[in-house]
Amino acid sequence: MNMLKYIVKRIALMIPTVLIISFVVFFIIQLPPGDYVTSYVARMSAEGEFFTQEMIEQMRDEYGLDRPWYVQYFHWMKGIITKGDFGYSFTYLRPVWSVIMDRLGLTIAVSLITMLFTYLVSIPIGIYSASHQYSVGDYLFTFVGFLGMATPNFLLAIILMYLSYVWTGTPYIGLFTQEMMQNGLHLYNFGEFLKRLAIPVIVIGTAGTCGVIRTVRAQMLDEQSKQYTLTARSKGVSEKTITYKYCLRAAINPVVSGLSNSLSSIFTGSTISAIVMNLSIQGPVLYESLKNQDMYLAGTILLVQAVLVVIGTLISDIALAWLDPHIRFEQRKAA
Amino acid sequence: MGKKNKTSESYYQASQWTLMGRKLVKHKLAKFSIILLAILYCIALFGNFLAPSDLVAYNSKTKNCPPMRVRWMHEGRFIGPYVYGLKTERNMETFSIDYREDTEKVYKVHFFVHGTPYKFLGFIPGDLHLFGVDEGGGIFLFGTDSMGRDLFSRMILGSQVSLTIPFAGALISFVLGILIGSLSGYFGGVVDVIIQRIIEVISSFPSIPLWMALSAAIPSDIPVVRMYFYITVIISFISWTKLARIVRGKFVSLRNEDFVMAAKLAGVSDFQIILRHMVPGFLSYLIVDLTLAIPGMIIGETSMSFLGLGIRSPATSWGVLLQETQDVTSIALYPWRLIPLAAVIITVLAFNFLGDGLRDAADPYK
Amino acid sequence: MKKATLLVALIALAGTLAFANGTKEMTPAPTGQTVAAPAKGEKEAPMLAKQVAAGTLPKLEERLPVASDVMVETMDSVGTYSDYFTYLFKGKDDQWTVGKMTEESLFRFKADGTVEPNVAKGYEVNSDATIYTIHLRKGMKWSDGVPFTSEDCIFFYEHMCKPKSFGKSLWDCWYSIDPVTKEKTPCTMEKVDDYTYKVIFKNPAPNFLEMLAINGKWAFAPAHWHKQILPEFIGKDAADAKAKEMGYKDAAAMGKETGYYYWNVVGRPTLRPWVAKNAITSDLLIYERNPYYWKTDKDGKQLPYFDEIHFEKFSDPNQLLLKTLSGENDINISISYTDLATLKQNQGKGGYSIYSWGNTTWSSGCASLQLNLTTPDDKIRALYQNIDFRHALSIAVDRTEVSALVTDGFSEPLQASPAKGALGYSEEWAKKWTEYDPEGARKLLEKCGLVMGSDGYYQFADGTPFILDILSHDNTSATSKVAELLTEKYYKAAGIKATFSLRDRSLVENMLINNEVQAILNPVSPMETVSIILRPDTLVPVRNYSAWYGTYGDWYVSGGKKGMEPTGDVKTLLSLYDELLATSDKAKQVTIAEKMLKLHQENVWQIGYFKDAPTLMVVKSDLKNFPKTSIYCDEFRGLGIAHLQNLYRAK
Repeated sequence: MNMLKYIVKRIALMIPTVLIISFVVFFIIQLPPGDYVTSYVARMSAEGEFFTQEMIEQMRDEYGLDRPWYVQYFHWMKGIITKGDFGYSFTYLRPVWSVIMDRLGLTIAVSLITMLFTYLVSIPIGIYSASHQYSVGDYLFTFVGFLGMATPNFLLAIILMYLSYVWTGTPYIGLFTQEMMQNGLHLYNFGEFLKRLAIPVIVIGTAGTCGVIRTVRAQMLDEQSKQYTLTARSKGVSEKTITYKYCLRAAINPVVSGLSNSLSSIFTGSTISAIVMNLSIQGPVLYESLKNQDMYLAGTILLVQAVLVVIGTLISDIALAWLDPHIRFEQRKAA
Repeated sequence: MGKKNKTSESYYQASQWTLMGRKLVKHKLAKFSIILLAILYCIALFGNFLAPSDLVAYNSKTKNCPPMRVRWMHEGRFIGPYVYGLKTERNMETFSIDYREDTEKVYKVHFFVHGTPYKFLGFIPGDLHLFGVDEGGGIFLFGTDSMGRDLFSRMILGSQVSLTIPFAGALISFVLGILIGSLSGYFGGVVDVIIQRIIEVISSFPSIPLWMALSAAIPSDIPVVRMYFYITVIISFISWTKLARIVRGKFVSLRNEDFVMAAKLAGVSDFQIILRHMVPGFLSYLIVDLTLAIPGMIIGETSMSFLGLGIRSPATSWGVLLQETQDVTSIALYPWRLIPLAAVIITVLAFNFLGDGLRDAADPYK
Repeated sequence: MKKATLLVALIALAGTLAFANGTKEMTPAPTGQTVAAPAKGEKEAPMLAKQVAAGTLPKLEERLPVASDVMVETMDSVGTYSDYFTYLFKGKDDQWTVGKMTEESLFRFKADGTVEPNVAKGYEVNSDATIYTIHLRKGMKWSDGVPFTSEDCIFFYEHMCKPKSFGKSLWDCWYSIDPVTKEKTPCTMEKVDDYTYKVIFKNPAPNFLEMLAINGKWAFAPAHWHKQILPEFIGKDAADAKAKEMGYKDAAAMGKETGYYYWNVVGRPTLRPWVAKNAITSDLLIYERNPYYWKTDKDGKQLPYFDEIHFEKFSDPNQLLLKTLSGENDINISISYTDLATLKQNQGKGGYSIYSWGNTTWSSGCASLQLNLTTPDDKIRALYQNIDFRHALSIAVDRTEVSALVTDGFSEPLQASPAKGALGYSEEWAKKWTEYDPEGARKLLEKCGLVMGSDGYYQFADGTPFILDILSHDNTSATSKVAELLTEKYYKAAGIKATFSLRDRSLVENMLINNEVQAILNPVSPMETVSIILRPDTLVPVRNYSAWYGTYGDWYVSGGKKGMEPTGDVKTLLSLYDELLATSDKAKQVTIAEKMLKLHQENVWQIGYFKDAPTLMVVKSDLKNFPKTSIYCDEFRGLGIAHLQNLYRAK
């Protein structure tokens, strides 16, 4: 009962929080000097197009950029709340939501796959490391696991791309070949897709292995020294069973609560790595829209991210409350 | 018999920190890391002395030159360490410049030479360098970059930025995180709710536009390194949120422990309770977090360089050196320029293992 | 646990399959199959022949203009039909690159700078250059099969250009200038018949055709198509509704996209060799052949040879280089000399050739410094206007060393000046102020009235410090390197305190408009032109455009109401320009142009530290008919002058 009250209270708090976040975020987006029009004029002038001051003012008027930013924000919010209209992207010349939906599938797919890779690599290393503390194997595997985090992603990406060119004559850039972009993904070209998935997964996935290994190892060590492990051992349960059945279950906990916090990063995917590797996921779209000050596109993506952060926090707080009797007790007292 | 008693005596009477220290050195990698980091920081401290060259030694005749070999025997005789001069030739097939050792020119290596002047610690003038070569020659232990500057020198001088500023940033985050986290956790109620919401707002700050806006807003006539420091400080004001949440979590758990209630009843002020009774309980954990935050900031610095923000040549950091190799030609033709990558990896790993060792050492259950 | 992992993996895989197929900007499936060698006598692409056989496309003779009016392209070798070539691009930011290389204008430039008929078949002009009679090609059709007539030219001028239906004002080519009052009057057009019309000017317009060649892509528009969407014809509300239907925000946006950037709009008829098949924001943009294209080779085979152009989006320059090395990218015009060694080493593996074209820049962008002659601060402005100061900055730098460090020595260490063969070139000018003389620089600085301060830097006589604030938007390593060398080495050694700041391009453009720029490296619009007569914008203050003349341009455009009035040689330059505009004698125009260039030589308003090396083009070796040498510039529409419709792939 109290848990329910708590959840309802938190959800109610979410709304002002998200509003404040979106307001601050909108402010930050337009903070760099200039606006979409100046950025656009700059890029098109580079190609020989010419603009007069008049034309620039007119464009600004068209886009509604001649109003102060908080007025723009107000209109944008109004559109979202009353019509579900997230605004118009000046770059793509389409409603913002359709631009986001375009990339959403691929972004989530890539994020989930790299996350899967991270866990598949980190969890075994974490378990091994916990059960064979201070051994050579421990040092070796953790070294490998941490290597990914220690190498700047952009450099690792270009080195791997270059090596793929040296070894195969065809650099693995981007997830799709031209043929795949035209005909779609089918069984016959799935192999090629997997080949091209290798580098992004390694680059992005290894960046996260460090944190997961550490968490799993810490949890395992905690569990291993708990009473029930000793009891099980004394009862004759095999070491293997103890590890897999009891300890692993406990080790998954922090991983799952870590997941809820990475909700927002699943939505965006990585940015710098994606730019270097030509992945058409949300990250580069966000980066470009920020550079060009394509306000509504950037604002919407960041708004969704903010909502996901808040939801993620809520989920992890609930998990925390569930697990920690102190807090539950606290709730009861407060109620 | 007596010895055993003595050790067990000292074991039982040892303070928390001594215990931690003993356990720490048991972790071989952590021990190794401490030594390694100490060496790295010493190198950074005496960087100007250790580096034979400086950051502005542009020279088109030595650009993209591979690492030099230091030789000892010349024509059968031992004459002490020396390097050969360089002969450059443009390969007409590939248009690349080939470097060959000019065995005619012998430049001896001397120690404790007077070279380009510098300011030790920023204000003590000096010009003594650990080693250098005869006039007219150059010694390039790690090769040179595309402007002809010695990579070895740039790496050492770059470490002065890469090792200190992220550290300072992490420290600021650390202090802020503890402070705000403990306030939030200890007092609970409205204070907690507000601070938690502020944390949510701040953690959804998009970092890239913030970096961009800050870079554009800071005036251009201040030294680049100072600008980078300002940006780092500002960013660390935003990155304390993760630590604050964890601290707050711990506080929430501990708040209702008996010892806290006892202290309250005894009339100890809130501030004292936080500082002397609660924080020490998990301080070890926090220190672990500090050591683990530093590598994050070092990598963050390299990301900023990649985006063209932060430090710019001639000021150097490892991030700048890496960003300069971010192209196919450098990787394909001048791979020695990736040596700073090894430095970054080693440093980050060292901090990581140190942190792991500290955590294991602080673990009260073992 | 294991089951859970497996489940997640399966979901991820399924998700990948489902989503990765993408609802995103669908890249259309390929239409052309592997092209078999056409049977002898076949005059059209196999994919079109198929459609003709199926009855969905008219016969070739009906699609081409009448035999006498078909345009025959000149090329190295007669080609064979090929399927597609790949060009890597940056997406929407490269819309002009895509546009320029497929452009077809009424008249077009040849590589020697003269003009030839293109869409137009020919012209006549009366003796005082006030009436141009333009002849079109009988039977020529738009890409949707509707006839292209003089109606389309007049319609464009009257209903789109003059009412500014796409947001831009009339181009200079449509005006004639009164030699006495300097008043500009727009021309009028008169239809003679379906394939002939007259352009009538109030005053002589001797350069009309050349100027049209520069801006000539907008001299016509498909009247039948635009009549369905222009507010003038269907009313504002219907236009707004149509706009929403097409996905635009409103009628104004629709007007701009369909009128100005029209080549991006799928379904908008054009006269180009290829038409867009999908949106320019796609990851793979495909242009496919125009079945009604009005050019053939000398054997009568309808062009273009290539069925499609595949524009593949890239996000990082290293991808461009890697795909060029592996031979996956057919044409690459963004090669820098520092990558030349890598290119050469992999040439055999990649199967490409390296050509070099000339260019029209006066000095390499990254090594061009412009001082704003109208900078607000009085003391600094006086300094920048002082020719001795510019002289000092020029000789303070060792050009050979800078070129060696930044371009591997491929760029000639010469002054900013016209290229060899261009009007105004002289060896004297190319070598002017290029000696490396730091001592001489110091003497000149002192001659300007600067005095050495206690910190080792020169300051103003009254004690105020002087800082040379150099700005740039260009974040390539070349510009950064030059900036570093200038500020940290050479200017410092000459006693000048200089700072360099890199700012976002849009900010720099803003600063230019507000006259906040002092000194700029790699100017947004460096000095360059195919002809000062036709495109003087970077050399003469005709509008707010270039950094070096700042608000002098505003002064000229506003007729003296805004901006700063030019003095000295800039004033002379402007009056010569006015004289130029009023002259209809082409020979006299050249004489005046030479005088203007002489003023530039005198003053060196843009200091250049080395020239642009020839523009490198990396082209797959099996791509034939690509010009091995030409000139790369905006007037010649970049790659447009390569006449890509002539390209084919050798078997």
